[in-house]
Amino acid sequence: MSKQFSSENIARLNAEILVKCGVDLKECYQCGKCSAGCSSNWMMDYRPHVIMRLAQLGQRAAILASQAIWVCTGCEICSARCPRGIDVAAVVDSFRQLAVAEDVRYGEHDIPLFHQYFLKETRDHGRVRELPLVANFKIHSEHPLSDFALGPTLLAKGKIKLVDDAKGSGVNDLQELFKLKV
Amino acid sequence: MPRTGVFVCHCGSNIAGKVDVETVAAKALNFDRVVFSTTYKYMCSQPGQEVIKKAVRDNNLDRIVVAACTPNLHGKTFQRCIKTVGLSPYLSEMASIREHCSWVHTDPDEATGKAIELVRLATAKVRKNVALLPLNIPVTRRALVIGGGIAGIQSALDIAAAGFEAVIVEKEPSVGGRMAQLDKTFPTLDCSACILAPRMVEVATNEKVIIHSYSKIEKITGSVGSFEVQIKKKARYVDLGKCTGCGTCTEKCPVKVDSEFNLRLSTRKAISTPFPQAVPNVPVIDPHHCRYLTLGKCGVCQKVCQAGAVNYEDKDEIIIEKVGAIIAATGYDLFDPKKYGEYGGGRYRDVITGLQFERLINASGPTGGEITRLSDGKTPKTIVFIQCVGSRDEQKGKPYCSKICCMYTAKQTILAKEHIPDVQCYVFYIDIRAGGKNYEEFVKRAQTDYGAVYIRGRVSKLYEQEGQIMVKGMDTLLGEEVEIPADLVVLATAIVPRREARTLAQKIGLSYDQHAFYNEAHPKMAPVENLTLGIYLAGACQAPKDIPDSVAMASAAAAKICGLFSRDFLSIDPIVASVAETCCVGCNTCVAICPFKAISMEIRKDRTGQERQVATVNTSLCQGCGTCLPNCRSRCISLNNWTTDQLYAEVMTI
Repeated sequence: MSKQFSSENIARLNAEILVKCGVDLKECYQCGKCSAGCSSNWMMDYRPHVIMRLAQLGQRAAILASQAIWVCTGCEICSARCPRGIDVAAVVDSFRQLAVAEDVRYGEHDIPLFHQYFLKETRDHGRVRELPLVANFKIHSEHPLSDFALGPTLLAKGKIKLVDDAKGSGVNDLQELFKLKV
Repeated sequence: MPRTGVFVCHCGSNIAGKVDVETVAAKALNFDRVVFSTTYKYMCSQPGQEVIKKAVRDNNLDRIVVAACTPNLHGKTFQRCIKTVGLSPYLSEMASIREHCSWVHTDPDEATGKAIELVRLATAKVRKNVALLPLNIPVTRRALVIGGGIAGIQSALDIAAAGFEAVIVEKEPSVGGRMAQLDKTFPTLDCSACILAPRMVEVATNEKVIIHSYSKIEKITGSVGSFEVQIKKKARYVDLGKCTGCGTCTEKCPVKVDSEFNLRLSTRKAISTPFPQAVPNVPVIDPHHCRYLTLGKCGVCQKVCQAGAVNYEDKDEIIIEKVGAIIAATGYDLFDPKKYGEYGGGRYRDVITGLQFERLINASGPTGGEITRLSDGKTPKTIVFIQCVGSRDEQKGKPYCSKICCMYTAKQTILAKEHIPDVQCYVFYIDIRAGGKNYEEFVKRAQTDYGAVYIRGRVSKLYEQEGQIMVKGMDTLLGEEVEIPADLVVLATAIVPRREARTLAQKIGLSYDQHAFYNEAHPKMAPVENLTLGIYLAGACQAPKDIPDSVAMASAAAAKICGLFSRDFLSIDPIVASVAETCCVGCNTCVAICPFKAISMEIRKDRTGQERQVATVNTSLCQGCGTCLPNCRSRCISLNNWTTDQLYAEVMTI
């Protein structure tokens, strides 16, 4: 299937990313150094330079539906090494935000799901309570019973607690942070 | 009785690492007439040359053989060396025991044996060398410049600045060349005409420069120092002296023809100047379309001309110019994209060439600087540029890179964006070749500041659909096919030599390559000289070249010529052929075979008054290649210091 390019899509996505993270996509000259250094490139459907290329060509939907944007660990090696000074990690992060905001069906399910409940725990309690995090994640995932056998061992070793209501010390400040609009 | 000295060079380990140089030197002492031999680490070095000089003085040597690299590399070094101790430079020989021996053989014993034989040959030859005297040739201090483009103009101005006369021959009605057709120039976006026009005016008003416009080279005879050039001045039908350039004739002329200058994007009149800044600003009548000249009716231009400059009786005229050196600055043509059926083969009106695009965006071009589609006159919103059309394509085009297309395509995307703010430009490329000062930065600007989208890959097909040109190609970075509906497609066609390049080269004895680009004498050390002495190259006639390179090359060629003109006589190597007229049968074989056109036939009368033709060699044209020798059926041609006798002596000594 050939890709259809349109000037409107190219201009729109370029402007969108520029506003979101300050990166001018046109700067990229496709040398591939980001992909070569990427620590998780072997797990990605599109490697970082391909994400950049698709972005340059306005292929928004393809990127949002990719799994690569969720596999990215945000280690920022790509950004540190880019000869054109492009913050590639920020571009990938922008696409993650867009994917969340537009509720597209992600190419990868577990990682964004885990992100979601991790942040919920942080916001509500100022810290992460292991059992509710795992429970919420597992219930909403497509594999609720996998890893279940690990539960008793973790409980016995005190790694997860059945009752855990302690709040983080800076919970109020943290909640203020979450209210900020970026 | 000759006394020969043999000097064997180690060349560090280049020779001594394989060849036992001491044995070579020792064996050499046994050769006929050899009275001295020695070795040294680097014979070409200052102390090495001192070794030779001392040996010549102490042993009263009168000939030397240096066993080292090749005469091409260091022949002159050792000639100069023995000249300082009073020996004729032509009494030296070199035995190539590096290139022909140590570098190409693996077995040390066999290599040493071969080195000994090579030295033996050289000693046999040098024994019969003659102390020749250099040839002195008088120099006519005027230069011919073929082509009035920027390269020709620059070299003529530089030669004139040194106080010598320059004669420009330009085939078009005006000087200016390709640069006059361009809009802006990369990477500075200077207006091409604005930087060219002052030079055109300068060249027109410089009293040391003579311009023959609308003229062609008919024939060139002679050689370095004294060429005779036959120039055909085509009938202009307008008197250069009388015409004031008012333009009334052009205005009133009723005949419209496709404009060559505007690449058939518009029309011109049958009497016209190619562009407003033309030099000379005098129109020419196109005899194939003028109504008066074809049908004998009309005569409007003559009636309206207040200066009485129109002359229908004008005839072609042959003039002769004598010059001492020649610069070929004939420039380039463009590859015809019709060969690419997949790009429409010329069928689609909205598929144009890069040079047509230059005319389209030029304020004095056919649309007054508006970029419009030729099919419907609409302003394009999507323009696709395709690079390497005819370049880097061994199947349909040329194997070489045309060098300037990456840059002018980037420039055209910038200019397109400046003319049409909401245009989107796409560029299909294979590699971006932007080597040059501020070139890479310029291409980057086209991408970042002007939003040109670069797609790596060749376009496989163009086809028309609903009034647009569909561009089907591959994005090899994505690994996916792409399809772009374009309003206008611009092809960056390959640079090729001028159509007349080959015939002109044959007329003047210039050597050229398989594409008809003119050959430089050495790709690195003599880039502006041709193998034929006295002929120099400037600009794109040698290879695809941009404006800065052409101008630099033009100045370099002019500097070479000024060097030549700084002396009354030109001293050249006497290694030339000569004919023993008594035994020449006048068979013409050598005349036909000489690659430098140095041999011609002359008539001689014998004692009885009977006439016969014999060959004579023009010593300033002869390059001493020796091609004539084996082809002479009466064995009457000889090459100085390369006589049959000497070669025979070499063979017999093995």
